[in-house]
Amino acid sequence: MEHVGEITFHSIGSSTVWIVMGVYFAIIMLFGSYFGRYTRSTTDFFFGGRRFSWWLITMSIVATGVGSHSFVKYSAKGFEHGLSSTMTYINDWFFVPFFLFGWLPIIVYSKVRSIPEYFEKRFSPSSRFIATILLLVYMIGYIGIGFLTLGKAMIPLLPQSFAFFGANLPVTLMGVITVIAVVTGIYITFGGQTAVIFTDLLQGFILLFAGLLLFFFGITYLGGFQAFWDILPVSWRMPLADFNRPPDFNFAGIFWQDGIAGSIGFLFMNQGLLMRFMACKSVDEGRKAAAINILFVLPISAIVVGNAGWIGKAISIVSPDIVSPASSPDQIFVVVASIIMGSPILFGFIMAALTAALMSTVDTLINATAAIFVNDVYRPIKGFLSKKVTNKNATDRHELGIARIASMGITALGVLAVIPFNSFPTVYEAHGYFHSTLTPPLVVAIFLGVFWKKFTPAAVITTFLGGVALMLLGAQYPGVLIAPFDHGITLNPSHPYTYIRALYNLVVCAGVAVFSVWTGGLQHKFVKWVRRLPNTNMTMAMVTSLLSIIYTVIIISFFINFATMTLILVAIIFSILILPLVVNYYVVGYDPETHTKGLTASSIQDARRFFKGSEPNDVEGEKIKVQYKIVAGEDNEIRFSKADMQTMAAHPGDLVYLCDKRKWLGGLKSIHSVYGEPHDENGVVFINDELLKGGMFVKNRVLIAEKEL
Amino acid sequence: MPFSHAWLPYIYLYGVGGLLFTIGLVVTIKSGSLDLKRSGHKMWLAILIFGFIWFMVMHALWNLAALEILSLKASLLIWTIFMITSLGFVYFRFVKGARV
Repeated sequence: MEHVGEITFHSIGSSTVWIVMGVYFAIIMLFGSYFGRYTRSTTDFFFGGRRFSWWLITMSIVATGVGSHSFVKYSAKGFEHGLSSTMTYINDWFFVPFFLFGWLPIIVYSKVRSIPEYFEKRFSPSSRFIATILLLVYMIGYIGIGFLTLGKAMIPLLPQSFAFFGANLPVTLMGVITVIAVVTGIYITFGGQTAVIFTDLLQGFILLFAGLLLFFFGITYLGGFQAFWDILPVSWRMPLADFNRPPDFNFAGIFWQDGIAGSIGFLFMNQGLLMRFMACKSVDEGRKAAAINILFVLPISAIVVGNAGWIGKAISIVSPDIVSPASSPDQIFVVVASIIMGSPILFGFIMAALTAALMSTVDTLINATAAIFVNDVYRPIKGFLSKKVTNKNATDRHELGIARIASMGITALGVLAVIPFNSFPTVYEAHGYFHSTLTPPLVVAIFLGVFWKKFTPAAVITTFLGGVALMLLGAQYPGVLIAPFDHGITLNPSHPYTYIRALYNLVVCAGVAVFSVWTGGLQHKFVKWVRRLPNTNMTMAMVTSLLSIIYTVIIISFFINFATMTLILVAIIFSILILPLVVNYYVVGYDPETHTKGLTASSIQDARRFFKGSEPNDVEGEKIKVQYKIVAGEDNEIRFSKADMQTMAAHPGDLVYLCDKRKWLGGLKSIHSVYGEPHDENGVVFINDELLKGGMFVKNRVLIAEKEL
Repeated sequence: MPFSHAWLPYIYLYGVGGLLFTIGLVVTIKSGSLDLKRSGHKMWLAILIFGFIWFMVMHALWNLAALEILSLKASLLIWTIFMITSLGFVYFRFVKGARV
């Protein structure tokens, strides 16, 4: 959608630019396909086999994080508001303690493969069902944002129309996005997580290099950093935006939308990112990857993604004839890159890096969404329909096929999700609205699930349904319900409270959650009383039907305005009172002790015990160098000499990590296994053929072994 | 430059954010998941607190330079020293002391 008064661009790219981009993409796809051969099972396809080093995952996250936050949207805001476009990259540290020592060890040690699976283990199957729906909507929306950004980045390079066999075909945003989606879908379908990780590793380096190169050229173009700094007015040099002005870019709104909802959403419920951390060889390695990424890589990324906008702003001040101040913000990255890079080869390289980065985000998300589909939709349905036990390898092959088909379907849905987001003036606002609206219910549920043992299935389901109902009401009556939280931000009637609605949404979801937990005792008393009634089942069936009618009315009222706000609010409050009773009545078998063991921050030791299958061995040992010797056997054990076991402070049954000595491989050739009974050959590890294939170890190469747990 | 742009966002960011960060530390320590009896976890606590200070200092220097209270060169110099010290810290913690 083009906006009134904006100058838009077409046909910026020459044929050289397209050739450079084509070559770049061919190299990236070949690189990914090469690592696709390391995909041997669904575990490898989705999680990369839990083997990689922190540095590899850190760089691989760059392409995902930078891509998702995108050159396009931060350059747009940099062009409109200056250096404060960086603030969303430098406000993620507040939730790091919760992530590193709460969520991360839980997802790794509890061996859950997806967030909904956590909900089933921690709460109930019905919680998993609702979480799956919400998460799929979130992930597909995220893919839609990625496609929209990609489309907006490509449009300036393309002509307004193509002549094809005499017909004049106009270049439309949706047409461009469809072509991009086909390319992305093909790549992800045949790659898998290991391919994605390695492609992203390469792209992470290229991306940082390309962004910094652009900054260097831009600064040189303007006559040096001091000159650039002096050109910018003081308000554009500030690292943080004005507290509550203007409505489309203000500090308070963005703090709650991005710093709070976005940061928790990104760290806690972005399945793509979580799968990267799950691909780390250990929890500590995942912590290192997250810490380095947020501390150092994100601030650098903030410069990388936003600088084209800042340079564009500076050029528009000194030479408005070269870059008009009225240029379309979403196109400014491409415009500035084409002006300052000079050579079409360099410009092609920059554009290739940009589009490849965006594709990285999209392909990671598609892969993650396919993981959720297989794990939380396909497997439960298949298990419900057929109890037949099948061979593990056959099941794995079959599920790999399903994952690939799911990837294609998800790609198509992602393209459709572009349509509503395209109504926003910039990608930044579309993304802001998306985060403010879709993350709060899941964020609150995950957060309280991990850190509050008293949080029950009744509370989590009420949070999902009651919270969403209050959010819908807030969206319908922002001037009444969201206004008390607005921090003085003016209501923009066409896009009311794009960012600060996150605060209202978080408050209502958390409020519903706390209320449900605090009234838990009363709920149980009520359910006990109901169970004593003569027509218990009939009574509860009627209450459930009434509840369904109320929720249907609430949803319809969102689309057709037929009831007053007060009436809908009363209906929602009534549903919040009734829903926990219904859940408590139907959800039986929830035991607060067993359902929280190893699944909350206060029971990490239980989680470690569960992960290992016995008591963890925390005695610090040393790493050792070994050569392998193949032995017969099918068990998942590897055997070291007594002396080597002593050096590693390991006992039979402990977990061991064995990898190729070459650090630059980042753990690609490695395995996790269990210590078997020791032998007497020092410096030699006995390993069977199956484990050797898993590790892809090379003959005569030195291996490093260390105790894991 | 009005206070609403100059310092209010900074105070709000590290006031509200700092409160959430402190709650995070207290919750993880009290729950035992950040176990200060383990030397590795003590180091992690130091990294977490360092990270908070790292961002707070970065934003403060940037603000001071933008408002021309501190020269750009002086801000960059202080930041570079801080950055090098931090990288050294990371090198010795993560690279030299790396273990599974």
